[in-house]
Amino acid sequence: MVKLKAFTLFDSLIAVTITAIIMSTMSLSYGYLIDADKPMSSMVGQAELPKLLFNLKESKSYFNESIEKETYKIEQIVEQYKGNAKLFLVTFNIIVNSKITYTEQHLIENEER
Amino acid sequence: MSKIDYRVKSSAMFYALFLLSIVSIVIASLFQLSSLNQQLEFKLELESILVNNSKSGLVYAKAYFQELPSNQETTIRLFDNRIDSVVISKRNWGAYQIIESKAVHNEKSFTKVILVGSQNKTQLPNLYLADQGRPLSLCGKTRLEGSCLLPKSGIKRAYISGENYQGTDLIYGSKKESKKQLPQINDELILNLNLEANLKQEWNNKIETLIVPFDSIGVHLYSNKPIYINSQTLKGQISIESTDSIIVSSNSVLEDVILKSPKIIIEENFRGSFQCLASQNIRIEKNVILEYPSVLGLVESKSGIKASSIDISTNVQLIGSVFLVSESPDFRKPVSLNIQENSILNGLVYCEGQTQLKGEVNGSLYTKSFYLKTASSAYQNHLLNAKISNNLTDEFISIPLLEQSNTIKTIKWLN
Repeated sequence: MVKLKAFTLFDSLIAVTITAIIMSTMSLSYGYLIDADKPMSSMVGQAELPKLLFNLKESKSYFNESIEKETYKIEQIVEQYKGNAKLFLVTFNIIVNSKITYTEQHLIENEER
Repeated sequence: MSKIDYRVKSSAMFYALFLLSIVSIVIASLFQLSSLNQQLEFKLELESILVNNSKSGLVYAKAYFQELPSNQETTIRLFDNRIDSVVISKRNWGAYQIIESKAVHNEKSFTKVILVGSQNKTQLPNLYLADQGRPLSLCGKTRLEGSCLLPKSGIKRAYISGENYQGTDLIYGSKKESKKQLPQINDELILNLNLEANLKQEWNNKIETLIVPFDSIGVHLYSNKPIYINSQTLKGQISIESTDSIIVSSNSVLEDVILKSPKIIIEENFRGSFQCLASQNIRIEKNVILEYPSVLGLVESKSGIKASSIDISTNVQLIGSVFLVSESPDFRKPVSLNIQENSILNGLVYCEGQTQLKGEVNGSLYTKSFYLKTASSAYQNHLLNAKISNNLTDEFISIPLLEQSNTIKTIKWLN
């Protein structure tokens, strides 16, 4: 029979403490890493933005819009740029789980003028 | 027989420390990986932001075009948040203008350059013939389409070289009265036709290929002798100037360049796009195709023995702009534009003198008068087998020649 011989109680206590620290650090790190990485759905949404911008320019329908997808939402905000009627500031927000994960801004010409 | 000792010496402390070091390495690696991933993600995102910002900078520059100083960099913050600094500038490129927008963040930058021209808010007339007291006479298969501004004395049928006017209507469009003078041109355009801002180099016949990007310093090649461009490829921000003359052979490749000389000759069968700026004569030989956005510009500085002119031979096609102006007009020797049979000019044509039109102008033609030379005689304000058509898109972008409200529009991306 294999016997594992224990050292002192003090040694064991330190070992248990270290193990506890390891466990908590690992779970903290895991949480941090999961939180830090951008969700894949946000990247999918990002890839949609050039097409949306192109469509916006082509259709000349300069309105706020919200596009709901299965795993993300794209919010399109169109506003006049610093009071200049020739320009629009377009802001795209990608929202995943009620959190804005990506924002992109563009200036476009007001083709209706 | 001796017993095998299965007991292993253990130490909880030792195991814990060992585990600690392993887990530390794993966690450190994970953090490293995550950090690298974030850096890469930021790098990619930064590139995308810089591209978007440089494009937005161009849009901004077009909207605030008049307010922007020429040949000077202006730094702006586009959105007043995050990474949004853009350095914009405008400069002249012949009769057109260039806008450069450079998005910057720390050491990183991204530059976009565009060639811009002018789009008229109101539709230009297809024909503007200044009122010099003579009516316009039409003969043969002449066809006038679109809106025509003509002298008060009007328009009539005539008979030349055995050819009567064959059309049913005199104008296939609308007619209004013109003024004695042509609409005023934008003097700034003429003043800005200089080529001094570029890096000067002596012209070298041995150059085989020279391509100068528009986001770098331009090259100005000059010579006091005639320049013959033969079997050479010249593209981009290159201006070529001769104080004598420039001849372009058909096997040369020219794109976006500027040619400036008193006399310029484009040999037959050439195809390309460039701006031609002359003070005495431009001769375009037959079968030449000048692609958009080509410009033929003649600015007569002082009236010489011979009248300054642009002579366009047969079967020539041009898309762009043509203008002839004189800084010291002489009514006895006006600048003249001569367009031969089967040649078609698409775009804006402005002649401060007289025009002989035997081909077609698709777009707008402004001229003080017409002339017609036949084998037997010469006629004033006569058109024989000429055509002025109205098939140009309303969104056509030309040079900012006329002094009226217009919008700055992108002609092409230069990088």
